Amino acid sequence: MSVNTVTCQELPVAAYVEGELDPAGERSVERHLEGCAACRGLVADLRTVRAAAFTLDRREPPADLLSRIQARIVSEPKPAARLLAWPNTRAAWGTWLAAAAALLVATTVGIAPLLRPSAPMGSVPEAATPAALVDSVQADLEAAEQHYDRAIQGLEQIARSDSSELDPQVAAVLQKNLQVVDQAISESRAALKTQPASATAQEGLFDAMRTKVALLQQTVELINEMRKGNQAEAGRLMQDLSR
Amino acid sequence: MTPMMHLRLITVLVAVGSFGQAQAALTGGLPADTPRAAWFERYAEARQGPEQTDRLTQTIKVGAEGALDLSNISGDVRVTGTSGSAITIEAVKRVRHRDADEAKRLLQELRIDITTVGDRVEVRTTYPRRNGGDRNISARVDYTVSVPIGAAVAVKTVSGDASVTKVNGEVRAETVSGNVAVTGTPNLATAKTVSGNVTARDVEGASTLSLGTVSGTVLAAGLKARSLECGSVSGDIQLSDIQVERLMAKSVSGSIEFGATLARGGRYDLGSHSGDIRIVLASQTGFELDASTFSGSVRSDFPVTMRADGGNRDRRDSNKSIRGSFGDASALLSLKTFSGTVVIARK
Amino acid sequence: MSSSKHSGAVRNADLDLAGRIKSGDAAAFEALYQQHASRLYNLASRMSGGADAEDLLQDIFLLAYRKVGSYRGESSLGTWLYRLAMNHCLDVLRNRQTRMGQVTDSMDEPDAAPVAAPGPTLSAVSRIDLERAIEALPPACRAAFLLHDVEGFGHQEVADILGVTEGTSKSQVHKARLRIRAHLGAREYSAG
Repeated sequence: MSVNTVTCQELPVAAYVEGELDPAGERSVERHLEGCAACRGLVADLRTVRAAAFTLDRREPPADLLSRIQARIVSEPKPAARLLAWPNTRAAWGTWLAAAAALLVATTVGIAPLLRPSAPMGSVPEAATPAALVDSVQADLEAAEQHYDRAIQGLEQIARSDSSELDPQVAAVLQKNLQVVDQAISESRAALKTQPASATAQEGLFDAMRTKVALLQQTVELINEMRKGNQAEAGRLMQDLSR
Repeated sequence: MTPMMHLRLITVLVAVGSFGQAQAALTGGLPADTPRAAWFERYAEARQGPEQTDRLTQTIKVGAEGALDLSNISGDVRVTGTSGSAITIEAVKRVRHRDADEAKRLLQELRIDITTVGDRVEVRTTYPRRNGGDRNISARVDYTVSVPIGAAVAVKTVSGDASVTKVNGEVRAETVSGNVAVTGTPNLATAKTVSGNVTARDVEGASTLSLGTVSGTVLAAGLKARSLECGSVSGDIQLSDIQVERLMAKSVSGSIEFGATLARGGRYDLGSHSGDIRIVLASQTGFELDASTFSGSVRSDFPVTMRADGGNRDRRDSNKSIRGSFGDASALLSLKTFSGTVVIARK
Repeated sequence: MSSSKHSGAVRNADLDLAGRIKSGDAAAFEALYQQHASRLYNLASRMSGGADAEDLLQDIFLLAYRKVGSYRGESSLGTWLYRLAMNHCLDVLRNRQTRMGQVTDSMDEPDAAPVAAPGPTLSAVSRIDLERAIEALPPACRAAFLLHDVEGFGHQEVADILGVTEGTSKSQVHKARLRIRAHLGAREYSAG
């Protein structure tokens, strides 16, 4: 038994997985791994988890959240500060906020609220046949899809009703690109029908839906900005008229 | 909201509006020396009247650093860093109207407000109010600004190009319909547009650098930052000579090309739906790879030790995904497309 | 962190921004929001299980507005903000878990995770499965895992944000990965 043998307990797995060992350390770990399937499995799994974490869904806060925060700040008891610097958010955003508020739930595209409570760790779920497991994953996917769909519909509603604020050429570009995203969504859906277990198809679908939500949010923000500009002009107009 | 606002009856997300009406709105962005531009000039003159211009120049002393915060609506904005300690603003107002008197009035009312607070200069373009919903005006302001080389610059326009060159302070440049070009800035934060291209050359970012467009291309050549985020929907992303610790590059129908030296422990997340993804690595840094496509193919020039696939839940053709490690696997590469191909090449 | 070439300029920019927020400059506050809201939303959302993410994000930025006067530039403004945010999320999560009678963990707890039992190696992990597994992590290692593996901060940065040593960050992240592996493995194993 060589003094260089490292036991499973002593294996610097964490450092190895992140590539932090010096070459000698790496060789020592690799020698162990050559002869130990359990640790090989462990290292592979840790790398899988690490890689998967990196590409989790990117969630976006709703487009109007900043205005809501600003509205709360305006109503705070003020420190010695120039609160006049804050836009009069409530007056300016009234109708728009009301519409956006209706979307609060819809635009939260997190998946967790849709999950059924998971079984306590260590217990074996009842009737956990492979078919049942696929079904439950399927149900989760459908629920997540519906969530995205609702967010998209809500945002589309706002965008459509207020699109007159946008320059027609810009609106046309946004519309065309929404179509590009829609095509990606329908291709992914079709693929998922033929291979429901494909992680790549799933990811493709959710990536595309997320992009659609982001694009719609960007559209709504643009409409916002145009409106801000127009509001300022409207304000001046009012002043002029009342002179 | 006044009745004036509702005169814009075009609902464009449902149907694209007629081009004639679009012209009466904010236009601009054509390079002045093309035959098409000349045609457009004559057309505009016939429809809207001759162009009347007014020029304004202002110089403000700000000290070696200072900050410029410029917000425009229609027209280009060009900012350059120079020696000295002043911000010099040259603005050219341009208005067209059939009625010469009306044009003159509009020219006067097209305001450029310049406010100085300490060493921070704010420039705002304010539009004249529309006279009875008159649609026959076309108004723009083109800005050429020079700032001290150490200044921070934030510029925004809606319809027009934005460019910033050789400025060492924090730079933010945005437009909606127009291109953004940033060159030689070591502290770039954001360069965005909606329908236009983003070009960044020889730039660095202090922390996260963000380059975005919807329908145009993102091109970065010579870029160094902690973290880079770039995105397009229907355009390509071309990144060459890149040194970042984190990258997120996404498109939907565009392809992504990434030529770089990977950082140890870096994370690189590239994704497109129908575009191809090609990464060209100049380094020998080890990486953990997760490359997949649904209907395309994946190829790697680097020898990748495949991760043992524990279950058969997800049977896939072997040329549709590569999951495994090269070298010490310290960096993470996620390259995902739906119908495109993925290539990991050696430089 | 940032190279020394930039740290002076970045520090000044941070202090400048903080000063402007303190004196009520709405544009400055918006700049801070635009820069960090998305990442903080992702953190808050996974720390809280998604339900309260918007409320948490509002709380975080309100707290930031109220406390920005105490920022002195010892760390970067981003680190200061993330520290504030994670402390708030941890408080909320721990309160909820205590109310529900769950035992909560602390950051200083020595690495008590058992050496992972050899199990079937995982196949490709679906995002949904991973989100569920994260939901099951106790607060302290969840925080470290989200910051390091999901959001991509380095161990030293995670340490700065959570107020622990770099070594603790590494062990908490490792512990989280082991627990996630066990959680995912149990699911797969039971599928037969």
